Amino acid sequence: MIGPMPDFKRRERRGEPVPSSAAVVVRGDLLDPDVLRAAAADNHEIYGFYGISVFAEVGDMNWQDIAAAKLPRAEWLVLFTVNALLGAGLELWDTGQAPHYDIVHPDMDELIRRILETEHRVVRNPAHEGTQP
Amino acid sequence: MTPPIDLRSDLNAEDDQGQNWSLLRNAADRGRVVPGAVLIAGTERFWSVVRITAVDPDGQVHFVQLTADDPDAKRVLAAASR
Repeated sequence: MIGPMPDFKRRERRGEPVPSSAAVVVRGDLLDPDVLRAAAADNHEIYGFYGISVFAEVGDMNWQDIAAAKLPRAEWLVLFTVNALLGAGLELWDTGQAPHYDIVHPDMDELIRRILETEHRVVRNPAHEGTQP
Repeated sequence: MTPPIDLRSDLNAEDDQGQNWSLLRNAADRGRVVPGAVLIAGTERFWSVVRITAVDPDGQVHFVQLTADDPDAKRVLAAASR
């Protein structure tokens, strides 16, 4: 017997075109498999899909602007390109409010593995606020 | 120094209103996660002082990050360092 379907929230999609292939996709903090796994599981529990939150260069915002506006508490940033993520067989969903996106794959293990193996750069956050008082 | 984390969360994650979010089951003490509470959210490497804005029946917790000069943020960090 099949049990009742879980009741997920509907995730808003903005309906925007995928950012240009050269656009930078930024995520705050180092890539930690345990953190990524926990985030993907949380996202599935609420929204019903495995997703990892990131921000992408759209409009006039470059990744430095995004770091200052969204990630000032992150000492480290990971930078991908849209092209590299899509080339790894991952999807980029325009969820929530711009410039927020989710990196998505239907299988959680594949999602984490592919993110970790996608070409990326790790940089110090130029907008890092440091320790709060 | 990293203060004790009250609410484990990914500070990249945003809900449809652009607020950060986590789950009630990620809290060190669920009883402290109520609207208006000021807590420390994130991970040991990437954390912030936050104010809880809502707790949904499904366990989703919404919050906003406080700026470094916010008096409530200063108060919480001072208490955490004792």
